Amino acid sequence: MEDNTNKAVLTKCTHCKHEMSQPLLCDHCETLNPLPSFMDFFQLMGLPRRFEIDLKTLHEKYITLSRHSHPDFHAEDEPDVMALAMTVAAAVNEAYRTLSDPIRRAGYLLELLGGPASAQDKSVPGGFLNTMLMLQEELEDARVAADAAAKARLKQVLLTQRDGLLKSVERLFADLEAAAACEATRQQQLHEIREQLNAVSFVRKSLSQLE
Amino acid sequence: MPYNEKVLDHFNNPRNMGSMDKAARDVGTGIVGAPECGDVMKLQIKVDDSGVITEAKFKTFGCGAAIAASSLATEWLKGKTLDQAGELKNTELAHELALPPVKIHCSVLAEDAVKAAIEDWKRKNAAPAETALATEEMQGKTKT
Ligand code: FES
Ligand SMILES: [Zn+2]
Repeated sequence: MEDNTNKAVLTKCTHCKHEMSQPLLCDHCETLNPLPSFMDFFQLMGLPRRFEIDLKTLHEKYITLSRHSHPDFHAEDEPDVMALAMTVAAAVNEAYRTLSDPIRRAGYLLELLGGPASAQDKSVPGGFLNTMLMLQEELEDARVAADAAAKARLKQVLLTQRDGLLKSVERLFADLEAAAACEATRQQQLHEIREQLNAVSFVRKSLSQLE
Repeated sequence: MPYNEKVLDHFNNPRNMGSMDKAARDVGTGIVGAPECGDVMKLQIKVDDSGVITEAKFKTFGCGAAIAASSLATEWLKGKTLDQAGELKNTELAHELALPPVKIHCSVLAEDAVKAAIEDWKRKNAAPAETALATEEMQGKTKT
């Protein structure tokens, strides 16, 4: 699918004035250009703004940008270039941390698309909290009894649940992309994604207790 | 720190931990969760014929503040009418426990649990006509 979200940030290099095919790093002279304030993490990493991304591209971009914004790389430069490098390095780290993890990426993308944060919309799929409470109780029993087999089984249940939720998040994002819906439908779709992501957050918490 | 002895005690020795029979007609159960942190809370009330709460229990899988807030809430609920119980505000819990701003959502969780328990009791104990109406309403909701 064609994506043109990146076209908006194309500018000329501040150093050599060449047209840049990507934001931030000039492909002609490799000068680090100022970070446009409106740039989101997808744009920063040169990726289309969607849930399914190419992790290999993300990683390569991360390596390139990290190298070019590394303090050692700019050791001889003016203080303002040094400061810019530090800003870029921090943004690149945060972008990589967010986009490389599917749960974080989904939450970030959801809010970027105008969806609700978990503090605004706490809903979860029907019956989900009941299941969670039951699992938590079993988890507690397994912990008290130091029952390793029960813990392993519960972990498997939780992992399956998490993967299922992430699958439906992926599907919901794809649906959202596929059809230009009216605003009400769009909000409903975003709400459904939030529901799944909220559920993931409960599952993740339980999983962390098994580590 | 404005913690007093009594309040600290809710952190260290939470009251009313446990469960009641979820299926019993005089028991209302509220199960709520905070997606921000992944904590889950169950709060139950037992209501007598005159509409007074005689017993309250909770089970909280969450942080210390959420446990203290549910402990305090269950203590406070006993002897209250359902209407009085419905007026419990998370801000009162947060204030009394001197919760810092990052822990406010833990007290919100307790308030939500109380509300959900009351609603569950009302649903179970609604007169037949009201039940039909409530069901209609719910179906109407799911359709939209
Ligand atoms: S941190 Fe989530 S309920 Fe307290
Ligand atoms: Zn250049």
